[in-house]
Amino acid sequence: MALATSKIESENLTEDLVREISKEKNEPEWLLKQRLEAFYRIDKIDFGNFMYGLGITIDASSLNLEKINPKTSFQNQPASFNRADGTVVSDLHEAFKTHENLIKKYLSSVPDFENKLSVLHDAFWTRGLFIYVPRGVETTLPIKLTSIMTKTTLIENTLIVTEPLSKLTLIDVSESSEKAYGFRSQKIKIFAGESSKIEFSGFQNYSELVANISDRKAFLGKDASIDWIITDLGGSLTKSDVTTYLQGEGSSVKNIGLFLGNGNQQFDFNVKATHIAPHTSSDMLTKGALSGKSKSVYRGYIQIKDTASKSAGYQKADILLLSEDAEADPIPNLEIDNNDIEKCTHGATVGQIDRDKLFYMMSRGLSEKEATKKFVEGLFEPALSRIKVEAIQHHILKIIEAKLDKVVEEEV
Amino acid sequence: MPNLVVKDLHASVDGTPILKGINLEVKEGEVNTIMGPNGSGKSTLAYILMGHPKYTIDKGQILIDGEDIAGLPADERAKRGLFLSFQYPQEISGVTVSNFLRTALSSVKNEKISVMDFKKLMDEKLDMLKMDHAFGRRYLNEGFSGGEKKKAEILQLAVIQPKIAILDETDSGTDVDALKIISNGINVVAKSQKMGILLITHYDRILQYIKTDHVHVLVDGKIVKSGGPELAKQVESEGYAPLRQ
Repeated sequence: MALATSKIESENLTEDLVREISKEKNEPEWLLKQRLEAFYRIDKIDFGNFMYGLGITIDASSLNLEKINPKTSFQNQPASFNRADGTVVSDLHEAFKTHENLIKKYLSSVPDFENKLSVLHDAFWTRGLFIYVPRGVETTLPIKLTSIMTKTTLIENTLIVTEPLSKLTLIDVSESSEKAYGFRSQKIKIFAGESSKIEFSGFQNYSELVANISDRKAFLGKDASIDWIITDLGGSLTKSDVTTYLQGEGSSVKNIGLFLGNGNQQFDFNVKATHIAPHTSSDMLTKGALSGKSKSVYRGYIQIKDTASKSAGYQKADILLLSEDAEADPIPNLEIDNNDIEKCTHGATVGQIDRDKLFYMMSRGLSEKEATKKFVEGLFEPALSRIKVEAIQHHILKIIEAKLDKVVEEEV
Repeated sequence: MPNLVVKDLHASVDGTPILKGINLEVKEGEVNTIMGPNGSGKSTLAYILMGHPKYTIDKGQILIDGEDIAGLPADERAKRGLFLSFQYPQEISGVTVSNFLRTALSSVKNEKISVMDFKKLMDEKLDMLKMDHAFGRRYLNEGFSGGEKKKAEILQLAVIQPKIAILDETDSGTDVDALKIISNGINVVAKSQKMGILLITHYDRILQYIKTDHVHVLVDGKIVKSGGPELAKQVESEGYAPLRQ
């Protein structure tokens, strides 16, 4: 498939299907309208800067949009619960019964007709999840979301609303069997109320036959904060976006992005912070390692608007190439429209593990492979140490170790 | 039989000769000290003996128990009993001292060591070096003070217990109290292991705490004079100038 051509030739992706999904899910009229608006744009809008670095282009041939069949995952989210404190974790469509006005307010507040993949998602999503944390409620146990790819198409929407002074810890795990294949598109929208705090840990470990598109956005109110740690290990093709809108004065974002690639895996990362209000801060760090013939494009973007005086932005990407054929293109970008900022810095490195660090570890008896593995394992420590639930931490550690073995095996 | 023998060692970096015919013997239980002015090749000698890939050995041999290790990578040298305490230890982010050292010990001994057994060993060595038991949970050398880095090197020495230890400016960056503790740690390990030591230093300060058997003065990639402990005192009072040709 040539992605440059704007038309998707598919028997599945029709206007009839959009209407069928909406009807099947008993959706209100406004939502159908929103889906159709997105649908009409599919053939008119392009893919944006997806795939293209400055020096390299990632291979998106595994993204078979013609083969997408949203009907394969029609059923609703099984796990739903309401906690005694008023916290809601529910199938999004089920939640219409109790929270339609709230959902409408947020789902229609940010139509993001950004690119072809985004509007395709908005037209054809079938599964949804709604998480709501009431004012002042602090979730003590983390909420764990598991998305297992069992069908060939999975298009899911998650809406998260945290009311003022609340606190939410989320662990979002996306997994599949080694043989699973197909297309998965995920959108997560988070609306953080005043002074609410969110810790979001995302782990993606799909098979190397799944094309995975993740688009996560957070909108922060006054003094709200979000702390993202996003780990991408799997996928034939992974497009992993994290965008934070610092809308409220004093809001802040921290973002750690981690990835490991081997074989022919292709990664496209977009990490953005948009500073809209004064005294906002962003701190975004991406680290990863690639072996085999894997490739990554990273686009980091800090935008400080003229309304965001006294703000501070920081971003950095450090990518290790463990084989001759692995390629990475990190592109940090700043756009500053305000003269009165605290500081704004960016930087990126691509290279091998420092020879002196390897030598140091090897002088203690570790082989070059063991030393490489230990060093890369160290990159993932911030993600692991934050998962305070031992069983989940153990599970994720096992996944990372298994992946590291594969990655280091392909080192040349 | 001597543990470490260096025979007519010539080495270079990017075609520039750095070592120009070094001969050395470090016997078990003995301390050999190398002194020399800045830029004389002291640290380079340590790196070359341990196998840093940046340097090329042009001629000569490095023998451990009679086996020439000059062509082996650093980890194979470590497995044959060689250890280097670095002048500037590397920071390894996200890897704790305990995690790293347990992996290192397993590699050198070629056997698995249980977490419990290792913890016991670590605590014992930490006590010897008057270090907090929580030290093992810190990331290796990250954010350590100069003294802590040197203590961490000797902690590794004490856990790994090599046959031959090269100590590269272990005294630099430490205050007197830390130096006493570190030196005591070295002496205890050396005695229990009959370890041979190649001590590299700029000053004779550390020699107040570690007794040396032989002193060699390295100038411009060559050993220009060898002698007993008195040579260190002579260098300290007269400097290196009289030893340069």
